[in-house]
Amino acid sequence: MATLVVSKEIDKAPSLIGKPIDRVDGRLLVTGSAQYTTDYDFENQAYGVIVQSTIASGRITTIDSKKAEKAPGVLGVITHDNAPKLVKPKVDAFKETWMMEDFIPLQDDTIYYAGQAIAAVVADTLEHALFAASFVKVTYDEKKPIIKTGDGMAGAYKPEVWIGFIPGMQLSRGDVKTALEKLQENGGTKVEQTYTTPVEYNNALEPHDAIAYWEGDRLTVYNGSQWVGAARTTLSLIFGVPRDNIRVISYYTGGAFGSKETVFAPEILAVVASRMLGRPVKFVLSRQQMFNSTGHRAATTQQILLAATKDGRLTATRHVVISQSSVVGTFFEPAVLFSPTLYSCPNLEVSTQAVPLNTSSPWFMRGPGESTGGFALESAMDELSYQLGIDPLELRMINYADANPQWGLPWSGKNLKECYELGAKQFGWSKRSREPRSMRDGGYLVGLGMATATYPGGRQPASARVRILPDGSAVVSSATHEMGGGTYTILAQIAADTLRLPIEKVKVEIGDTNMPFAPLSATSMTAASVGTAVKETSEALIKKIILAATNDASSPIHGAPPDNISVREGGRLSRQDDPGVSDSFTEIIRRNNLPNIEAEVFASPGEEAQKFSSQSFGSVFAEAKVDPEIGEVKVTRILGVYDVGRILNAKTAKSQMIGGIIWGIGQALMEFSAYDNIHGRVVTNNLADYLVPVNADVKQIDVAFIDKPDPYNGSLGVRGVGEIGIVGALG
Amino acid sequence: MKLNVQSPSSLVSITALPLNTIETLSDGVLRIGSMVHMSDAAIDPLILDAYPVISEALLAGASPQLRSMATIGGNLMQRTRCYYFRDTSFACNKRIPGSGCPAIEGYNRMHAVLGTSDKCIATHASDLCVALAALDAVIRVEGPQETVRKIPINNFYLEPGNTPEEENELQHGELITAVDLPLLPFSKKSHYLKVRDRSSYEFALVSVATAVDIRNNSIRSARIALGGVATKPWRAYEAEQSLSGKTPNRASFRSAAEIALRGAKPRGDNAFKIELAERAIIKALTTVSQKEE
Repeated sequence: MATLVVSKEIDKAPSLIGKPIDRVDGRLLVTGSAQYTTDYDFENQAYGVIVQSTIASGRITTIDSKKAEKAPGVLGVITHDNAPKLVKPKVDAFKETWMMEDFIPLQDDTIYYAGQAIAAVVADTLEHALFAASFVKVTYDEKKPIIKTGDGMAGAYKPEVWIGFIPGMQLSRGDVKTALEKLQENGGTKVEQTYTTPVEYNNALEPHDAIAYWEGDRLTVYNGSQWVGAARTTLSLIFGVPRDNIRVISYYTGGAFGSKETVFAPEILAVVASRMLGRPVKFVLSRQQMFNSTGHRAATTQQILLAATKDGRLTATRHVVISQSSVVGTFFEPAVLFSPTLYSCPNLEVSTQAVPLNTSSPWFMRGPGESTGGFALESAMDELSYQLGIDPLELRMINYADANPQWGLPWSGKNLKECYELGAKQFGWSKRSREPRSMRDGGYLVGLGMATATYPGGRQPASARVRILPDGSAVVSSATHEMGGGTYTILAQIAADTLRLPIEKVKVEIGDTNMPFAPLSATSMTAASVGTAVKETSEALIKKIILAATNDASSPIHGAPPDNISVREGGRLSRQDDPGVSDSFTEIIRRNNLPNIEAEVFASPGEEAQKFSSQSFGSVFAEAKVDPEIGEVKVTRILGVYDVGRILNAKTAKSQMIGGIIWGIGQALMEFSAYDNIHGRVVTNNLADYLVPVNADVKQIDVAFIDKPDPYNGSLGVRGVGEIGIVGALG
Repeated sequence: MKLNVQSPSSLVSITALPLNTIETLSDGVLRIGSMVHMSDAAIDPLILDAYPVISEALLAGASPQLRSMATIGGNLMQRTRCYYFRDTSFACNKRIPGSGCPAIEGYNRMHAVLGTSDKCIATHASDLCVALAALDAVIRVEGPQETVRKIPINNFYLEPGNTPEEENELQHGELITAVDLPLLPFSKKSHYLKVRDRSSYEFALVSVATAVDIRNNSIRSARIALGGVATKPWRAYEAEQSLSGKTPNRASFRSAAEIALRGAKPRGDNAFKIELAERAIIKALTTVSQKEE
């Protein structure tokens, strides 16, 4: 088939890629017109409220729902006594089957943690459901729960892999023991430190929610999701309904940050209730319920040992992580992920222990592993730099890894040195005084610090359909997600850029399992995965249109060799050797009396994925001022410089990084969740007691991108901008 | 009410009552109507001029959005932020007398170290009331038969003792109509310091309201009230007295701070508040004593 050639002479329009264009749905978003799951209401819809366990371990002895059943407007109370028996699916991420916890709610009387769903009250209005739920009386046979890491060590285990398939949780290379013995002989030095990170909550603005309704044997579920495909397949297995009979819709997700990768009690109970009652049922978790049953970042204790020669070359790294887990889940915080690959170091040991507790299972939360492990490793690097008397930035340059030090693969594209250099220059790093407490501003002590950021930059198979309609506009479809990052906008940019259409003429449709397959929107890979699919689909569509025209006897460009045809602005095709001779998308559709012209492509990473290590990098510089009298800390300046491949939209990319940096400020200074250790309940279960930064905490934040296309991560050259923002900011 | 902590059978709107003025009475008392919004009081010229500590405390409270809605009377009646009080799945002696206090053995980082009992260690959450306590404000209360009671703020709030459910002197059927600020010659030289985990929309870990009268480098009189550390807006009378006649310097401030926290009872997670409160008192006194009158 002919290759697509776009002549530079006739194509003077600047590329849309990289431009800081406004969000295509900006007006919808700021006027509150974007429709999230909770915004939908269906005819005859009922409302469900979840009753949660108030104990953290034991059994339910009785649930008395008589009074609730008689309350005004109540349609039903569902408990393990009357819920239908459901199937617990076998988790397999590669088959779109995913569960946070190893049980289905309302199947028996076992209590694993406080906050577990134990009953659902469904009524004609939300108020009636809430009122009736207050009458549900539960008695328990309570056991003493295990809430603190230290109390759970008897049950600790050493996982080899994370989430079932990611290796490296116990790992070694070289010989750490010998390296440490030699250290003393060679006059080197070492630091040994313990770092802890607390429980943190994703807590998206949109709580976990679901509306389910049945039409005969067909089920439709609306939910806030970052993986509609897994929601569909997992529900299919739980309820024994063929996958093709289920449609899951999530046009807008109000933030997820890892917490919406599967179905939770709202989805499952909405499906149960709508089947029992024969009407649509909506469930929305309360803000309090968002703190105990939808995943969180597990607390960690991390011991780090770094040893180096006196000129700063790392000779040994040891990273020992103890992470909380749950008695009803296998997830833990993979804080060791970062350590084997960030710096060049011949001898390394990492190990992980997971400690099951009577809490809801921890789960993915923005930069899982990289964020927490990076904090520990980067803090230890700073300690080491002081022990050695070497500048912290210089120490990182000395140990720069030119290839992946663990797996030996070359990087698909690494420009971290540029990040360090540009960052140091822009931030004024050279003005830093090394001596602690030597820089002052009035009564405040001033500190400057820096850290390396990193995050995987991979890509997964994805597909898209692109259609040109008779009016010349294009419709892009893919079952991916908009979680606030700007998916609608970047996909419209990519399609408009390739099709040479104004962006207003491209409509993007996402978030529906009826659309072409897309992977989960996580690990910052939507742009690389789905973006590449949209690009390749748009290119395939152009080839198809060119062939249709050159084979069409009534086309002005009939008979021209396809590679002599260029796409021009506004959906025109013209001969390169005679640009005056042209055809257009609309004319081709009209002459052939077609409903549209469409293409669908399944875009997969090629062998480059095995040959290269795809990783994003960055450097983050921060200035903080501390009141030495009362310990008040203000982060006055942060600069992040990132190497994340090609930038698709300078505005949305920057917004994502700023968001990540602000989250990093919160993580470093404010965020933590406290459990009552006796009862096992989260006590900081609201956004007044669980602190995140407010505007007044956020001073100057600057973001810069190296913006060099990654040659080995798909034809767009992107690696994704999401999660790396949080990583270096905390470190 | 949204948390089911209270479920009243009926609510009476008082938003139309004409209690939203700030005026100086003939005897020099400044009267702040109970329906005055926090945001309005904070920028009122009379308050800014004569009682800067009130303005500073108001601006340190809540968030701009809340301050625009909340009233002075409402601020006086706000309930504690104790996690256990606000989550009805826990016992709480304030909510259900005799049910127990899980905060004492539980997670108590935000809790009180002064004025506590073995029944309750919940802090009083207001910033404004700390400033009012320092200035000896008087709460004006009207009852069903148009009776008027004038209750000094330092008698208005009750320590929990054995009855933490009883929080103040307000009786059934009574309404706060105004807060009176008596004349205080040195109230211009006043200051509010709030130490908290973030810059806005967060309750105090520790706060200090203070005013000083300094003549010839000697302290004639001082006021110190503490927030975030006690079960009621906490007036540190002994610490104030210790400053009388002293030179305003770090040594006298430190000594006053230690006296103020004498008798403080740490409960575990909140132990840090004792040293933090001492440091905050020293810083607040240092700041206020350098302030122009």
